[in-house]
Amino acid sequence: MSELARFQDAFIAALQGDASDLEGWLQDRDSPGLAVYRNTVRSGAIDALASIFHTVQLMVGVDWFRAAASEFAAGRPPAHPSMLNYGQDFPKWLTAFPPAADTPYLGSLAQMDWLWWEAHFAAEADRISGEAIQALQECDLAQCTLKLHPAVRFARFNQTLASLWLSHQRPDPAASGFAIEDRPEHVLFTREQQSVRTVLIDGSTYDFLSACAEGASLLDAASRAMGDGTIASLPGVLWTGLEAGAFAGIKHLNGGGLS
Amino acid sequence: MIPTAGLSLKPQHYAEALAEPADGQWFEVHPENYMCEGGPRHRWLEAIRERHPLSLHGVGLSLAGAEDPEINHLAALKRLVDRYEPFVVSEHLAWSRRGRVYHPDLLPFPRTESALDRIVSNVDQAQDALGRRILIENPSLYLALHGHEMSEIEFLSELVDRAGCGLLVDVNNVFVSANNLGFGAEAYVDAIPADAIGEIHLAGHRPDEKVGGDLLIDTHGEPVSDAVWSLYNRLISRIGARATLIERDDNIPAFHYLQAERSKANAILNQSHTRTVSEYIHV
Repeated sequence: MSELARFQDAFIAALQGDASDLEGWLQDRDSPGLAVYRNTVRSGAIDALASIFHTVQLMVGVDWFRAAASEFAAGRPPAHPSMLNYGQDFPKWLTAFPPAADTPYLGSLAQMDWLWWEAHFAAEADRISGEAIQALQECDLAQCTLKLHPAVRFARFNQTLASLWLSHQRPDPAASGFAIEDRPEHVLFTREQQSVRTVLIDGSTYDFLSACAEGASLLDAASRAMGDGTIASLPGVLWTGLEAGAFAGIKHLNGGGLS
Repeated sequence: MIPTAGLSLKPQHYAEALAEPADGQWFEVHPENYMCEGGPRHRWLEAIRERHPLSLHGVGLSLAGAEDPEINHLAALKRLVDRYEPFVVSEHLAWSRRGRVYHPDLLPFPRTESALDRIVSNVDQAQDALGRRILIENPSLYLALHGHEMSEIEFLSELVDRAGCGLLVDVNNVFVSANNLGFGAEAYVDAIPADAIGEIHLAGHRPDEKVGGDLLIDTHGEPVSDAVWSLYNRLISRIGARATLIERDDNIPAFHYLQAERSKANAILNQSHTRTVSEYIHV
């Protein structure tokens, strides 16, 4: 191992609290300089998480959030200098974080923050319009599928947590008084030109989008969405997705593109 | 063309940056903040790049580390270089990665001959991958280390000679490091090899109150101090005009406030140019 590598390992250990291997390099063992580096490294990770999980921070307060984020970062430090993808497993970690036991919905709020973040930075793609979807009339529904736009994200919750999350996106979020109800909610994130749009969707639309994401044919997707194998209600589901800009194209399952 | 002053581009200033007249205005971004597939950031940057020159100032290549630059990160940087055609690409004389862990800071190292060999190789690899020369920035330092075999200026000069890179001189970093490690800031700016300098950074700092204010922190969150303006004037008087960035990453003020600092830098650059021309005429 090179001397530079040995120094780096000793420095990292010192950042984590054990400066014994670094002592030979330190002119002053009591120098506050090491704490400056330690604080910068720690706050770099915490700041990245705070910019993504802003709804969680709003709910729990800055001090609680930063303490939790610091603990997360200690066990799961960033792996890449672009911090845009850092924190993907924070929602799951937060769900199991013992101090969050009294607020078990925090992980779900974090999940929505993450989905919003992914939608914000996802790839560009064209969207199909209402006119383009008329091409569906000319195709075999068993042979065609709808390709989702790269920025589409959606989720299902057993409680009204999407409404709770949405209530905290306003400039003046309701700090209290939101009653969480035990009924399912579904949420869809799409991106317009400059911003992410978040809407509540019904269970049928959620099932339809899930089937599309798996590459199911329109017939199968409709069957899963309606639950009875008919496509009588399909126009409503399609319209919801179209209006939200959720579809990037119509694709023939044998490989051809229709739109 | 006389080198001009530019600004760090921050998302809260996108619309004002786009509306700016193109009179020598340029912008600089950290490429790591644009390593995403799409979305508003790229839309804004594309629109602004159509009107203004752009510089990419990396913070994550970890060129002063014991490992090769990370290949995926270099590839992502190359895609941004190809897409935005920056007039400058720069990085730091620092490390931030060890194995698969990224430490979000610009960390120090002992300036040894063997470290120089490794860093020359890393800069070579980066320049080969990007297909262009890069500038390397002097770091802000907080810790006095044993084991240095050469001064920072000797190290940077050797790096320039052997790797063919240029230098980005952060005058605020010089001031902060000189204060923290006890060397002379003026002697430093007087000794940097002028021909290698392709860009200058000006930023703010503040004392670390937790340790009684003896240590200065390179915050990028305050106005440029009078002492740093004075050092900048001294450097420009010696080397002539260079592209100069008003660097602000934290505690972001209104756009016009940064523009006022930019105007101050432009006045110093213009003065230097006028002086150079008049000296030439009188020879």
